[in-house]
Amino acid sequence: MKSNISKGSVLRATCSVVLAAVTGSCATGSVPSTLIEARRSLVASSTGLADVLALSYLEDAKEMLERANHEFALHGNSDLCRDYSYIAENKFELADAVARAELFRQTKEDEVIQGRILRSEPGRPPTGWPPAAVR
Amino acid sequence: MPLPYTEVSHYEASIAIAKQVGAFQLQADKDHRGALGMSPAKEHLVLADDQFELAKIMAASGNPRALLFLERAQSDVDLALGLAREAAARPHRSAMNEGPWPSFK
Repeated sequence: MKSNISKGSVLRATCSVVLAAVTGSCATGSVPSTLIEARRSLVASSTGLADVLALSYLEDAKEMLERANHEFALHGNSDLCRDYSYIAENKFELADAVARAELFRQTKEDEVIQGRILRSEPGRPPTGWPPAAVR
Repeated sequence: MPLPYTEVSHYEASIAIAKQVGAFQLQADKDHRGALGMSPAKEHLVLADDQFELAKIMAASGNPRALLFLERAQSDVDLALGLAREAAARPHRSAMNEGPWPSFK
């Protein structure tokens, strides 16, 4: 019995399935913008103040980014991946804000200490010069 | 599907703290401006509120993504509190221009 399905139609069907698969994988494989932003923030925060002054916040953010990356590796551009990326991005921003606040606090503290020195020794420069021996 | 009580309480407590510290009233300045001319802290509080409302709607319709929207809202309110704390700690521009030392005239 001769089949009604020609070789050409089989080839066309195969091509269309392959094309659909490739297009589909590209659609789910495109990296969400929130994940790109979170990855950029990782680099910025890890090389900035947060790495010194807000380490625990930074670790928290890194953990969330890891979850986003893992979800992306498993399911591509999914809702879960975008949600994790969004939260990670916020956590990186929080780490940076905490680090800046800590820097301002330390600067203010230094100023207060220097101010005390100035008040206790009026008219004397804050460097401690001249040395006590020649005063 | 109800939202988890502990997480909702945590969120509501964070919003109450944000109100207490005046995060809703923070004004934007030239260097720190969020969307629609709001301060960045207030912008994240508005976002948090929107996402919390969405989480409640999703939970009512049984959508499991409601939990993630609640987590997104919490991350926004945490960030708003962090930004408000930073704004409070930030020295004023005039004080920065004066420098740390008083002038001896």
